[in-house]
Amino acid sequence: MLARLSWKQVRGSRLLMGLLSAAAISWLVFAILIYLHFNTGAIELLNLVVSRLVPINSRFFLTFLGIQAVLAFFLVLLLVPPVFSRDLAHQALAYYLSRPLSKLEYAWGKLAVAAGLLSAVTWIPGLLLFGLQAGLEGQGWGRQHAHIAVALFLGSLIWMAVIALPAAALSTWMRRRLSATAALLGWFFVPGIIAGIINRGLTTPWGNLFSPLSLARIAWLALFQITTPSAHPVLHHGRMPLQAIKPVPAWCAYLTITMLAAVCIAILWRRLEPIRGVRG
Amino acid sequence: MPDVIELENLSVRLGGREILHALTGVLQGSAIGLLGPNGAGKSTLIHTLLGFFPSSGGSARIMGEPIGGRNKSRLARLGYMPEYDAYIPGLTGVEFVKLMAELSGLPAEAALERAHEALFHAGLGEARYRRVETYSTGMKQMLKLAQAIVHSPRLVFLDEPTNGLDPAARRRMLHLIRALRDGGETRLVLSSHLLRDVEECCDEILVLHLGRIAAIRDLEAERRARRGYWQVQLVSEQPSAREAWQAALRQAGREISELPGGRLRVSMPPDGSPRELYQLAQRWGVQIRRLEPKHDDLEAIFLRAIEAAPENPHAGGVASAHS
Repeated sequence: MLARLSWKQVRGSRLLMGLLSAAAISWLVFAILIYLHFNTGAIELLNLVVSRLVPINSRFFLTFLGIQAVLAFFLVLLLVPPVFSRDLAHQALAYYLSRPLSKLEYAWGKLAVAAGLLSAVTWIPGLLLFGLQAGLEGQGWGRQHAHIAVALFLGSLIWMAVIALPAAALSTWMRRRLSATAALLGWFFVPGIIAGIINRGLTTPWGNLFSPLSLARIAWLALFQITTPSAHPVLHHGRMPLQAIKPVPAWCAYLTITMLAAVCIAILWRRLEPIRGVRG
Repeated sequence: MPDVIELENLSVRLGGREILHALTGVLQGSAIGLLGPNGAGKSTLIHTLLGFFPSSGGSARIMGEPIGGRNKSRLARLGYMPEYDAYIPGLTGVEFVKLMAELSGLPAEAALERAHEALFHAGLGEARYRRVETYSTGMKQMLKLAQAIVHSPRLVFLDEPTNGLDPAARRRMLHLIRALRDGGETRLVLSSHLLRDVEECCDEILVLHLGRIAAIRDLEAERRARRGYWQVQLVSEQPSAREAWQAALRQAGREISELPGGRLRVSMPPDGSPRELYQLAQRWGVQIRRLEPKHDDLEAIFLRAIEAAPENPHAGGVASAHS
């Protein structure tokens, strides 16, 4: 019911359609890249060399997830603040919570559309690509690379936790759509800058724990089993020899993301109060 | 039929401050007026009964069911009209009321039907396809009432329903509330600072003062046993004569108190005759310019309850008086 209402409130948005179209196009491009590997006719027609085509491996799927994650972030910006701010700015929460509806059901109802659309641009198309590759390649490729499928799914969930939960918490905190959107942009970019300053200033990778983007990337790299040092965020700058800096362990990133999610849920829980203040 | 609301040492603490102090009482009326000065705890009591605030002590029951936790079947049988301006923008009136009906457990088709009925009942039939943010204050109040009753609750809480209404809209709102009461299916709790609204609609009142129960009164019984009094305006050149007239009346067993505008309130003798007043006025040389027979109204009941209540919230126990 609430999901239906949330969908009704956002479905007419051109920006939403634009983002979903961009996600579909991105998927199509990756699907074509996979297909090219197996279509000798197309390879000959386009005069391509198979060995010079983009290799279909963990990094390929990580790149796909990275692109979709950017689109997912904009989807969250578009979807999450309005569904909460409409109710909170107009004091409508009491209508819901005076009825047989719990806070959890309310929050889930409001986030269901965002969760559905985020799934539709992240792990669902990711697994479809994986299935396409596994089907075309055959010979047990799917089984041998099952960790990629797991990484696509869990990596997407981690990304949703990193962007959607803070978005919900900030939206209930700020109550107004514009301020919530601005806060969300700030949340996403400002900690990244702080993390960069810490990393550069102290020549350490631990500043990454302050950046949601870096946290997600560390988790993704672990899930996709990509261990190349240069893939880690801090090591791009490399004032020190790359191999001398040990990247942040994945478990630290998982733990930080879990704590972040817990804090966001706590804020959400606290801010979803039907009544603001005591009137007497 | 179980009691509508039972309170047993119900206390509520918010922000480190005790707002409601060990409320104890039983309310049985079909329309219960919740009265009290600003800050008395009326809205807090309603919000606690709705489950918005946890109790810090004691317990309460609505229609025999304890209020603790979020009992869905209990909540489905309650309606709530908030005091403040609250709506969901982007929805039409009928969409809004239908959503509220669905959230209360009605199937979509029945919810739509009931939403139309409730909106017509509230006089918003013509405006039901307009977005709620375009409604006037009066229309929003009616919309709030419609959503509160759309699912035919057994008990509906109306928090200041006539707030911001012009006289015509206020009359219409009170008419709807009386119709709801007389329908017999829904009990209601009406919180208002307007005594006339409560007097017109309610058969029982709970007076709160400083978070304590100052009185619980059966208004029907009070109306039947209304105490009469004379409202007197005197003219006297000598203040001593006026005082002597008052002293003589007191000696004769009459209660006298000052009213605004220099008028006096003199308790009426059982036969209701003013002869005694005139005789004493003649004896003490005062002139009665105006004499009006009056009866105790809700204002008098309310003021007496407030005056009798302890000013200091920590001074004593519960001042409940259930009749």
